[in-house]
Amino acid sequence: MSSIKLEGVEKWFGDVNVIPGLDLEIAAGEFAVLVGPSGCGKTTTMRMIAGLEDVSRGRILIDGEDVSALAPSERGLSMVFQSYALYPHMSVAANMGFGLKNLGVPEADIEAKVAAAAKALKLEELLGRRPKALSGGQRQRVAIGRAIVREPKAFLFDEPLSNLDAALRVEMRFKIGRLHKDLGKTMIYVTHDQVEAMTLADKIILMDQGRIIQAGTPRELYERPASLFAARFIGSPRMNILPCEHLPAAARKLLSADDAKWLGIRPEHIDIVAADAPEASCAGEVELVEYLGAETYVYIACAGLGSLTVRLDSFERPRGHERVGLRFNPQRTHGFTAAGQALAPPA
Amino acid sequence: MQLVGAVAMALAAGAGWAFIWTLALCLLYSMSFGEAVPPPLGPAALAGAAAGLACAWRWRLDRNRRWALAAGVFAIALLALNGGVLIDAPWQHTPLLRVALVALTAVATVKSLGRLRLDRATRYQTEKVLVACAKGWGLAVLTLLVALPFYVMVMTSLKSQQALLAAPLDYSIDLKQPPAELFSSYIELFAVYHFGSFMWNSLLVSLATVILTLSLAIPGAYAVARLRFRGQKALTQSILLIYMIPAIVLVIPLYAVFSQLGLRNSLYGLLIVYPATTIPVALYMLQGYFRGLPVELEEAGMLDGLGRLGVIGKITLPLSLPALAAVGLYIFMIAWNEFLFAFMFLDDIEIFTLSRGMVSLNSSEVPRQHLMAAAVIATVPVLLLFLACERFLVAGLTAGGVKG
Repeated sequence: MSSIKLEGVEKWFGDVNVIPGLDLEIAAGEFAVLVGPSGCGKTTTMRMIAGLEDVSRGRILIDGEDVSALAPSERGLSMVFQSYALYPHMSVAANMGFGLKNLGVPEADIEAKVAAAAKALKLEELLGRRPKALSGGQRQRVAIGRAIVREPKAFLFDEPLSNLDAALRVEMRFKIGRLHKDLGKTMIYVTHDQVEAMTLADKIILMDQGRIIQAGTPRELYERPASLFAARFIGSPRMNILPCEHLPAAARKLLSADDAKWLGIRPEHIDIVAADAPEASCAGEVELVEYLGAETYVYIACAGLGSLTVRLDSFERPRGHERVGLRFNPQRTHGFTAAGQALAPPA
Repeated sequence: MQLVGAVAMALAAGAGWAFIWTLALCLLYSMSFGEAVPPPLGPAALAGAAAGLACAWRWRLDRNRRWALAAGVFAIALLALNGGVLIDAPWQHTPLLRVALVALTAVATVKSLGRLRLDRATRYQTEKVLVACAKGWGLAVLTLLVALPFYVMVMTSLKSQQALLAAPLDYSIDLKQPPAELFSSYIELFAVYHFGSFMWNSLLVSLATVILTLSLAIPGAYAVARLRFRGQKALTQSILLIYMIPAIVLVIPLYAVFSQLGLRNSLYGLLIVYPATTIPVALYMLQGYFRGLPVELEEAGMLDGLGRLGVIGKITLPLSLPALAAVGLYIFMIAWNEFLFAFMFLDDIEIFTLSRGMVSLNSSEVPRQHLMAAAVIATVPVLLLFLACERFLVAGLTAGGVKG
């Protein structure tokens, strides 16, 4: 278990500054997920931690020791690549034992450790095969096995599930989560998939344009987004963001501060009521109803506010083109300033 | 337009096949029976064109009748165009040749024209005929260019002086004679003309060139392909610039310099020149292959505790075996076949390479079959090496390493 700390880390590619200065602390044993839109610098940040990219300025500390100048091989980290990056000219067993072999660990120890990891990942029967004879999911398991066998200080995962199909992704997500529980090691995980981020993370680090927008537990990010960007990025379907100047008075008074430019409300925090009900915050016409089984998304066009998404339990199904009232849960509204900063939550 | 295309196709197919068969059969006949038969190429092509047109004409005939028709038109047209004879050789000697020529031309024309009919020619049919003809002609020309000289070379080398003088065009050999007589040219080359030592010298020089070139080109290619440094782009683009300078321009100053340094009349001198000429192409080929290898594999290696050299040795090079084999083979062939520098630099017969030694045979005293045998000795090792290495030249070694 090791803590990882970034102090004022910058990355320049020539004259382009992709990471303008990053301070980040990941506690020992923590599962940290770097998430953000593509090009936000999350992969570059991970590659700098791994040592695959130089740090232009600043320091990276592992367990308080400055590793910025160390080669990747000297940092004691393991990485699982998006493309798996298995050595095609080695068997599965050789792939998994390669790191230990380079450390000069005796053959018998390597064999024992590979066998143990293979057992945990159900790879025993594949140990003699070459990577090309494996399916995508098997290759991914071998890649994870290779990372485990080395007993690293911390694991780095670079979008490890993005090449798998949907069903396998859910299964592997579960396995990675359990791996973290079992090993208790520090893990850093890069993804653009917010479901992976929400389910796996102890701490989500949301990035945009090389900066950390917000870092915190999944629950903090979901319930208390610090900015408009975080509010929009986390949550599916997205949070409804409504311009305050067009809000009816009933909705406007849900926000305590006067300088709010935007009001945010998540789809599940809106109730459908009668169009003329006194508790309705605003009213609109049902545009489209998407029935998903366990839940239903209703898209409602509100004059001046645009289209709002409402998430309902499946049995309440309004008809199309019906005029309905919407009641916003007063405890669950978010106010944002014109600059996109979150306002203090309503008391 | 389609009609014009179909007519052109029929004419071209007939003319092309008649031309190739006439050439091939007359050559084969001359070489088998030792009697010169000049192939009537022009008349045959015209007659073939007529046969092609007749075959694709809009009458409705089955395949056998079309064969007969094409054969008839071809024979009559050739007779008329070639001054009343099918082939300019005594009839009693060449009945089979004539029959074969007419029959093969007819079959090839009908077969290649397939279902092409002038009345209902589609673009698809015309293109199909075009592809079939291109394939057939390409193969025939390639065979004539590659196999024929080789055949002549081998057969001549196995003949005796008397047989060669008696019938220079006769390439049949008498297999009943004892092996010592059959291979007398080869035996004499090795026993009298030092070909054993020539071959040994060539082998030494070629292998040393391969080793020297690869040991310099591999790190260079890796640096150009993977490492970021100032001037990398300029270096990559200027690798092949050395080929702007013809070797003959280099050979004169090199001759002067090497004479001063005492490197001229020695194999070490060649070992400076040969890698210098092969490294650029080797570097260029290798860097292209290295670039194609997934970077993630090397990065995984670095995280698995390897330094840059370890990554090259344990990951990059094992995955580059096909490229290394191809480049090594290429260098070997260049060094083995090199003539200009060997000719200019080497004076002592003990250090002659094969190509240099072969030229020393080129005098009126050495019979021609010896020259041919020498050519076989120079060619066959490279041929065998190529066949042996072919299995290394397969692509796809990196399959399965990364998601493709």
